[in-house]
Parts: sequence; structure tokens; C-alpha cells
Amino acid sequence: MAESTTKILLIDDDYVLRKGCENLLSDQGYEVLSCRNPEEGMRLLRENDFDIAVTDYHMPVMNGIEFMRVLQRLSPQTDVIMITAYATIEMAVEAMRLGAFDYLQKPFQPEQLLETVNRVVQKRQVRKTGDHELKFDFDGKTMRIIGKSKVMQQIFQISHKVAPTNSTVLITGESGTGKEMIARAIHAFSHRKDKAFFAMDCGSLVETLFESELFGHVKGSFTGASETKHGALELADKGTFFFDEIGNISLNVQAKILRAIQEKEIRRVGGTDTIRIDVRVIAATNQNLEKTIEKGQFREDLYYRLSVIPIHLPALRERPEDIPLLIDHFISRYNQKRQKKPIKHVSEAAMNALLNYSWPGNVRELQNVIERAAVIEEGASITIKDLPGHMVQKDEKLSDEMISMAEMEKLHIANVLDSTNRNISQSAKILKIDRKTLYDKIRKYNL
Amino acid sequence: MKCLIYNNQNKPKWDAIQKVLFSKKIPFEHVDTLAAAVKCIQEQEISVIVLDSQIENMRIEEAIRVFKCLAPKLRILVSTDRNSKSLETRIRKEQVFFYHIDMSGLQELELAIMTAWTRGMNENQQLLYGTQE
Repeated sequence: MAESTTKILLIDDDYVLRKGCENLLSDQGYEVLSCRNPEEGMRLLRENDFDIAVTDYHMPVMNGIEFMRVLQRLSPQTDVIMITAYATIEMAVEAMRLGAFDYLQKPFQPEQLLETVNRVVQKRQVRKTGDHELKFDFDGKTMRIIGKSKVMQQIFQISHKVAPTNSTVLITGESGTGKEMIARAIHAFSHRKDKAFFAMDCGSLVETLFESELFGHVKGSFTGASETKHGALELADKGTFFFDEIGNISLNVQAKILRAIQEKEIRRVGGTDTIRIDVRVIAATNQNLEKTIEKGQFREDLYYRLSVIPIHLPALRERPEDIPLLIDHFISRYNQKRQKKPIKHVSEAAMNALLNYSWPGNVRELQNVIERAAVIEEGASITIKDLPGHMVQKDEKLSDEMISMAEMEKLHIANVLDSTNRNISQSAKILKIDRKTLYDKIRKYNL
Repeated sequence: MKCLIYNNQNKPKWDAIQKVLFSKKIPFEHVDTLAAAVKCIQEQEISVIVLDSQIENMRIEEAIRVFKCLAPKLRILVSTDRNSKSLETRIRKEQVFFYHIDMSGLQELELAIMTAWTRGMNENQQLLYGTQE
């Protein structure tokens, strides 16, 4: 059964085979666009988001391997199935080495094509939910934490492991690294998932207000239900409570929180009764709490209570391999909201700038940069001009460095391709070379 | 930047709050319908909204979700004269900046509004001058 959104590109110059495959896949509920040569294929790739490309190896202008290389640049998220005659099986194997999912040897039965396509769909589903993201449902919405780096994979595993326990968790990391998202994931994977998840920014309120929000408030003789403020901790009973920026809490409130965690009871401000609570505590900070303990600003006993399970989130600059994935994720998110042409591509220069930047604001900053680019850009490509000035300037400095003739040629061709939205004819015309030479250069420089 | 007061009941509390905002020179708007509140948030730079827990035509938590959707950084303060556990739970689930009940006194609400306003101003300055967290 086809995944509802699975979109397939079919390229083959054999009309009968192409139409036969198209009908077969359409009947199974796949959305299929077909064409007879790679040039049309590239145009369709620029204009659509394909999950799968089924392409013949032998095509005019470029062979399957060459097309694979172009496709990987234009649409890296698309999986390729190569169709080949017996004589070119070796090349099909080479295509698989380059990243093609599978190949089909002509002549093939309709069931073979369907089976291969279904396997790709299944693999994509596993990939979506498995390798590169931590996916969970929270408050009726699906949330994703993206990361294929080893350190993020370990964090995903720890989050799963600690979720079923009641242990307190201390999440550390710079601002914007996704500490609250990890806290939500732990809650979503726990047996408390159907109960409340309350989060409080410990630095947002002055001490008196913070206490009243956290522990509730009763005043003098006004003890009726409508005059009682229950407070967030009491209302989070049986659920999870997330203390964001715990390092900002005063020593006085720290003592009260320690008591709440140790004794599992609280007392409202102005009240005398103790209230039992069953709350799983997760705290987060961007400070080095050990240093604040040394300075006498944070209680050591509370620190040890909180850090039963410590999780440290790396800064984005420490996991650059995740940046392209995150960009892809944010682009697809903004494409859903975007009323203009969907963003399909990030130019090489823009990608280099994004990869070379230090990201002091981490994932949150990257998200903002992509949102900004998606708002500014009218076309289908994010280019260097869509990025904030301070990022571009840094990239320009890089371009001032002395480079070789070949690197200069590569950069120039990449820029021309960017400016024409990868229109080969137009680019060749600007560069004053024929299309074949341009394809050779694209292949040579892996553009 | 402005503060938005949204209530549709004539209670002395709201007059007092407006007087405080005026005396502190905090620019504010007062609206008494949900539509006017939404229009205000869409068209003006509202950093803080203070609203009554009893509003017309919509449950308070749904209204909060609408406001957050329109302005994710908006600081939302809710005030009520009659609290209940379920009301407080529903509102806290929406992660409001502050939940006030009349019994705690007007000063507490004033302090919360001032805190929210100051934080919004600081955030705005960081944006203007490009300060990173």
C-alpha cells in the first residue's frame, strides 16, 4: 500500500515501458510524474519533491551514473531505483555504490517493480522514524529532534532509557540546543505521558512571584477553593515538571525545591498544610552548576538530587554533520506554510556559509535563519543573499583567500548554476560553453 | 511595543491596572472582544497581554493558543476572581507567563506585568542590537 504522500519520478525513453510502469504505480496510489529524458527529469526535480526516482541507466545525454550525481545535488532526499539491461549491471552496481537504493534488470515483472518501490517506502518510513530523529507525540502534535551525529544518537538512546524511570534528569547545554525538547521527549516516552507536563522558566519571575506560581498561594482566612492558587507543582501531580534555567533560582527557593523532590511534598505560600505530590522532575541549565556551587550560588545537595541522570546537549557547532539535516527539516516545515514556490535547494555558497558559521544561538538560531530565508526568497533556492549579513561577510572573507584555477572555475560554475536555478541551457549560454561541456564540468566538480 | 488589556467585564481591577500602566508610561491598548484582541496582536507590536479568565465566545485556553499562534513570544498573564483546580490546570497547560487570582492582591499582578514588560523590552533591545544569547 502506498504511503499517501509518496511521489515518484519515472524516467525512461521507452514509451511502452514508461506508461506501463506509470499506470501500475498510479493504480497503487503513488503519485507519479514521468518523462523520457534526464533533462526533463531535472526540470521536474527542481519543481517537485520526489521521494523516489525510477530511472533507466541508458539515456541520451547522460548515463545513469551521471544522472545520479546530478540528482544527489538537486534532490538529496530522493531514493533512486535504476533500471538496467543485463549488459550494464556492473554500472548499476556502481550506481548502488553511489547511493542508489536498488536496480531492476530488464525485462522485469510488474510485481518486481512494486516490491522494490514498496521496500524503498518502508525504508524511508524507518529512516523517518529511526535513524536521524527522535520522534514523539506531545499534546496532540508530532515533534522531532533531528540528529544523525553519534552524540545525538546517544542522547536519543538515553532519552528512551530514562523515560520509564522516575529519576530526576539534569539537561545541560547552551541556549537553543533543545533542552526543553528533550525534556518533552522523556515525558512523552514515560508512563506519565497522559498527565501534565508543566515547564517553568526559573529566571522569568522575581522570587516572590516565582514561589507563588510554583507552590501556590493561600491568604489568611481566605481558604475557600475559589481563593486558593494551587500552583504549578501541585497541578503537575502524576506528571512531569520541567525547571528551565534552574541555575537562576534563589537559594531560598532552591531549599524549597529540594524539599519538594526529597519529601515529595509542598506547602503553599501562606499556608500550613503539606500537600503530597508525585512529580517527575527534569531540570535544565546553560550554566556550569559546579562553578555556581563553588561560588555559593547553588546548593550542592540540590545539584546531586537533580543530576541523577545528566544529559549534556552539544552545541550545534560541535555536530556540523547535523546541519544539512536540520536545514532540510526546517525547509520542509516552512514549505508547508509557504504560499510561494516551495524551497527545493540550498546553493553551494549558502550551504558553505551555513556550515562554516559558529551558531552561537544553536538550533534555534538556525531555525530562525531558515525561516528568514524562506520569507525573503521568492524562488525555489536559498542563496547567499537570503542569509543574514554577519554570516555572509564571514563567507566573503573566505572567498578572499587565494585559490587555484580549478577551484575558481568550480566556484564560478556553481554561482552561475545558482543564479539560473540550475537551468543548464541558460548556464551554458552565460558560461559560453556547450551543454555537454557543462555537464562534464558538473560531473568533474561534483556540482 | 505595547501591552494589551483584554477583558469584557467592568471590574475595578481592570481600571486600576490601566491606571498603573498609565502612571508607569507603559503604552497599552484596551479591548473587550476577542476579535479586537486578535486584530490588535496582528497589527501592532504587542509584547504582553493581560486577560480575564472569563472571556466571551471561546474557552480561555483556546484563546491563549490563538494568541500564541499569532505571536509566539507574547507573554500572557491571566487573572481570575474565582479560581478552580480545573481552570488553573487548563491555563497552566498553555504555559502562561503568570496566573493571577484576585485573592493574591493587585500588587502581585502589577509586579508580574512589570516583569513581563521589562523582559519584552530587553528582548527587543537584544534583537535591535544583535546581542546573542
